[in-house]
Parts: sequence; structure tokens; C-alpha cells
Amino acid sequence: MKAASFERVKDAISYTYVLLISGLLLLPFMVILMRSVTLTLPDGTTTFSIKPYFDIVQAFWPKVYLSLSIAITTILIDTAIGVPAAYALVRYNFRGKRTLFTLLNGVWYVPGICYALSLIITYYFLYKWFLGYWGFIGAYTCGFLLLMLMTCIVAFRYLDPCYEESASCLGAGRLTTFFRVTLPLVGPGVSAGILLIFVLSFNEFITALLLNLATKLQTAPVRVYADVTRARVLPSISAEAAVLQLISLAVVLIYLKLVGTKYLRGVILI
Amino acid sequence: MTKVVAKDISKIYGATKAVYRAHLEAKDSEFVTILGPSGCGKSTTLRIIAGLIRADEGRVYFDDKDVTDLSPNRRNIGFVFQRVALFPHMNVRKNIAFGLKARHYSDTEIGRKTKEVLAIVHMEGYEDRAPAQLSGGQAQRIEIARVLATDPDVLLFDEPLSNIDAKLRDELKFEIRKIQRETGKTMVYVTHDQGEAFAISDRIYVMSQGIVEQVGTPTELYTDPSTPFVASFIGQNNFVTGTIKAMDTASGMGTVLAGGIEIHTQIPREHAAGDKVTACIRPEDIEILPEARGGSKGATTATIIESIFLGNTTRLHVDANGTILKVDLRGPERFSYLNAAGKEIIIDLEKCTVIRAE
Repeated sequence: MKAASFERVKDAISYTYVLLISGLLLLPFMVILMRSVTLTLPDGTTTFSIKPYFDIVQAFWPKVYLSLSIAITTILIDTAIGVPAAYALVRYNFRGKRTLFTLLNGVWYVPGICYALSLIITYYFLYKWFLGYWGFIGAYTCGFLLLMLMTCIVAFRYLDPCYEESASCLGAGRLTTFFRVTLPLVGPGVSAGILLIFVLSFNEFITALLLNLATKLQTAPVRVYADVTRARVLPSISAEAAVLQLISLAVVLIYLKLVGTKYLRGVILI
Repeated sequence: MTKVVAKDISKIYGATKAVYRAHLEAKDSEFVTILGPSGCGKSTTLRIIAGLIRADEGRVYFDDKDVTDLSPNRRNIGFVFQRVALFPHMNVRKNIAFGLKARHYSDTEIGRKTKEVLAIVHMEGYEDRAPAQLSGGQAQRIEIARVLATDPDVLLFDEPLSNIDAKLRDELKFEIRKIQRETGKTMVYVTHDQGEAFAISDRIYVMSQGIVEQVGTPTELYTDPSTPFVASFIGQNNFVTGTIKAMDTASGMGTVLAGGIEIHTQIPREHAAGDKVTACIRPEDIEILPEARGGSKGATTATIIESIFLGNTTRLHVDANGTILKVDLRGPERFSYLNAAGKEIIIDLEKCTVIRAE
């Protein structure tokens, strides 16, 4: 009897702890969400309304489309470059391979602002013809390529070479083997890279802010920042932030539903 | 049908000679096995034949065609891997069709071939199963069907049964042999399992530390091992090292003096009196003689140290003038020595193979 009640207390503490942690993680999002639907009327009373979401359609949605367009183009280019590069890095041995892996890992430890500045210098001051939208793409492609490389390297390392060898012995050439055997088998790894690049590039702020100064192109996160500095946290600005979060969350949930978490292990904390 | 020749091939990794000047031949429709312990270079040799590894030295020929520089997809081979390599994202039908599509077969032909090879491996009705829905034995059967479908000139097996339980392994090894006989394909099979090699092979290449130690039929390898390694690796043996005391060059009969015993036996003619040799005596070849033959030539007195009943065999450990020997008794005789420790017996050591001592 005593043991049973002790178990109940232990369970209660465990659940409370989990709820507390979940609450802490969800709190910022919930605050933004609540703020976006809470309107203060002229008489000082408050009411709930989704009007702020309609208010931002004209000014904010073009920025969202731009962010989406940049994220998707970055993903396409990084996939085209990153998948074959990761395959080569895993499957072929060459001098300095270990050093290269160490350097690739080292990029994670470069502060975001330093990285952003170096990209600005590279794509703005050095190559003046490479401005505007494609400057963004160039900077983001470079900045997020590592994510694609890492997820694909993990996937290729997990993939037993016997499938490729088997395909070759069955008479398939390299391209057929790559597209019909290798790529489908590392698909979840590639999609993990796509997911990470989407979430991070869609919400990226530091580089986007600096590039905004140089190119006058304003992505959705920079627009939120500009609105906050100009007019404080109005419900409409909270709605902008909530839209960004909802889009990211939807994409992550769809991914996890379709692919699961296996290929994200070792890449992000999951 | 195709003859396979791997001529003096070598593969060296740093200081390790994975394969060193190995020469291997498989005649038309022959079932050749490469047998050896882990790390002896047998899989590397097979992979060189397949084109999955490039040899540092030597050439590979299919019939008279030099295929050394051809990639695996241009050699028309079938390779069955140790781990089942069925593509997990394709069902059985698509797995079998894969090689046929690569060879531009029509859909009708693919359908016909699929049925045909599934019948050969007794897996009809499994076309729509995913590899994950197959047991180890079923998956290996499909794997064999997949390579048979492409009608390869040569079939290569890299320890295909090592991950399968003993009972199924027994069934499948004979099935592979049956398929070989029915299709007449040249097959090169790699295994570390001596029983498996003996059961299915026409000829066996025994490898150790990257080199081919001996080639022969299973009977030749068992009865006439030519190196100490083969003698110790194939079956069980008593090794008695000594010198040739006397030898009749005409008949080849001679006496080896080893420890406290004299062994009268046939000695290969390349040896001469005074040479240091090892007599390899199989435990089952040691005969217990009746007491009346105690004084005859070749008879040695020994004392039983212990007797172990193993069911179909009784294993005796005997002391023959300080040399400890294993003796296996079969048939009804095995029950006569169950509690025979301390008993004196007369043994005949004539049936043995004499090889150079290491």
C-alpha cells in the first residue's frame, strides 16, 4: 500500500516535470499566439480576434513568399551539390579526408555574425554583379550546404555498400545504381537535410539583416524585426511572428510524420 | 559456360598481403570453393574475380577474355553476398527485375524470367513480398533467384550461408549444388566451413594468409594434405615431428623416428633419410591391433590416458612412449573402451601422411 502511494507520488512528480519543461518550451510561442489574437478596444477592454492576421496579408505575405522562395531555391541547389559531394566524401578515400571532415565540423563553431559578414564581403563587395535575390541564394547556399552534407554523410555511412555492389554485379551502371538504389535508400537522410535547411533558412535573421542593408530585399524575419523596432509589439506584428512559427512547425510535423526522427540523430538534438 | 582464371593475383594493403600471387581456375561448369579461416584472403580473391576490388598484380580471365579492367556490370556475373543484399525499397518482383531491366529485357520477358527463377528456388507466390517480410533463408533464395535471372556466365558466392541457422544452412548448401548441376553454371564459392566446402565442391582451394596452400578434390585434401596448414585445417590430425630413420627409395616405404615411437609408412619420394618431417595421423586412421600382432612391424604399444564417449565416436587419448595421440573409435568397437583408462593397447600408425616439417 505504502509502495503504491510512493509510486503515485513519483509519477506525479515525473509528469509535472515533463509538463513544466514542455510549458517552458511552448511558452514563447503561446505568448506570441495569445498576443496576436488579443485586441485592445478604444474603451480599454480587450477582446479576441483573428483580424490582425487579415491586416498583415498585404504587407507581410510578400515577405513570406520571398523567404519561402529563398528557402526552396537554397534547398534545391544545396541538394544538387550536397548529395553527390557527401557520396564522394563517404565512398572515396583520398588524402586529407579526415582533415576535411574536421574542418567541416569546425564551421559549426564560427559565430553567426562572423559567418554572415564573411558572406556579405564575398557576395557584395567582391562580386558586385552578384547582387539582389541571387546574392541571397549564393550566401544561403554556402551557409547551409554543410547541413545537407552532414545529414547525407550520416545517411551514406549507414548505407551498406553491398547494395551498390549488388546493383553493379546485376549489370547496372553507376548512374542507374545511384538513382535507383543509392538515392532511394538515403532518401530519409536527404530529406532530413532538406528539413533542416528549410527551417533554418526560412527563419534566418543575421545574414538576412545584413543582406537587407546591401540589397534592399527584406525577408519575413527581417520584416518582423523592422516592424518591432518601428512600432513595438502590436498584435499584427505578433501575428507575423506566429505565421512564421506556424509554417516552420507545420513543415517539421509533416516531415516527422512522413520520415521519422532516425536520420536527424547526431545532426540535431533529437 | 565459362572458364574462370585468376592468374597470379595480389592485393596488398600497406604491410598486409591480403592476397599474394594466388592462382585460381574454375573450369566450365565446375563448382570451385575457396576455403580458409577468417582473414585468409578468400573474399578478397572472390571480389577481385567479380571486379569489386582491383588487384595490384595479376589478371582475371573469363574464358580467354581478359576482364581485369572491366567493371562488375560488364562482366556478366552473379554475386551472392554474405549479407542479404536485396534492395529493401523494392519487392521481390522488382528486385528480380532490376538486373533484367539493366539488360533491357522487355516486360514480357521479365515476367517470364521472374516466374522461371522463382520456380528454381521454390519461392513461387512471393513476388509481392518486401525483403523485410522474408526469413533469412527465403531472402537468400530470392537473392540466388535474382542473380540466376540475369543468366550470368559465372556465379560467385561470398559465404552466403554464414548468417543462416544450421538446419537451413544444410538444406540450402545442397540446393545451391543442385542448382549448379541443373544450370551447369561455373560457380566459385567462398566459405570458412570445411563441411560445407566438402559437401558441395568439385575442387577446393585452401587459402591461408593470402596464399593458396593446396588445391584438390575434397578427398585429396583430406587424405593427402601437402602442407602443415592444410593438415591442421582440414579435419583433425595428430602431428608427430621427427626424422626419417630409413627409407627404401624404390618402394617409398620408410621409418620415421618421432619421440619414442617408430612409424612405418609410405614417404613421398622428395624426402630422404635424415630429413626432418611431420607425420600427420588422423585419429580415425589409428587402428587398435589384437595383442597377437604386438611384435609386428609398425605396431606400437600405448597406454590409454582417458576415454571420452561422443555418441557415434569414442575418443581415446593415448600415451605412446611419451607421445600423446588422439584415437577415434567407431562402430561397435567404441563401446569396448568406455572405461579403459590405464589399459595397454597396441596401435598401428601406418596410415599417415608425411610432409616436410615447419
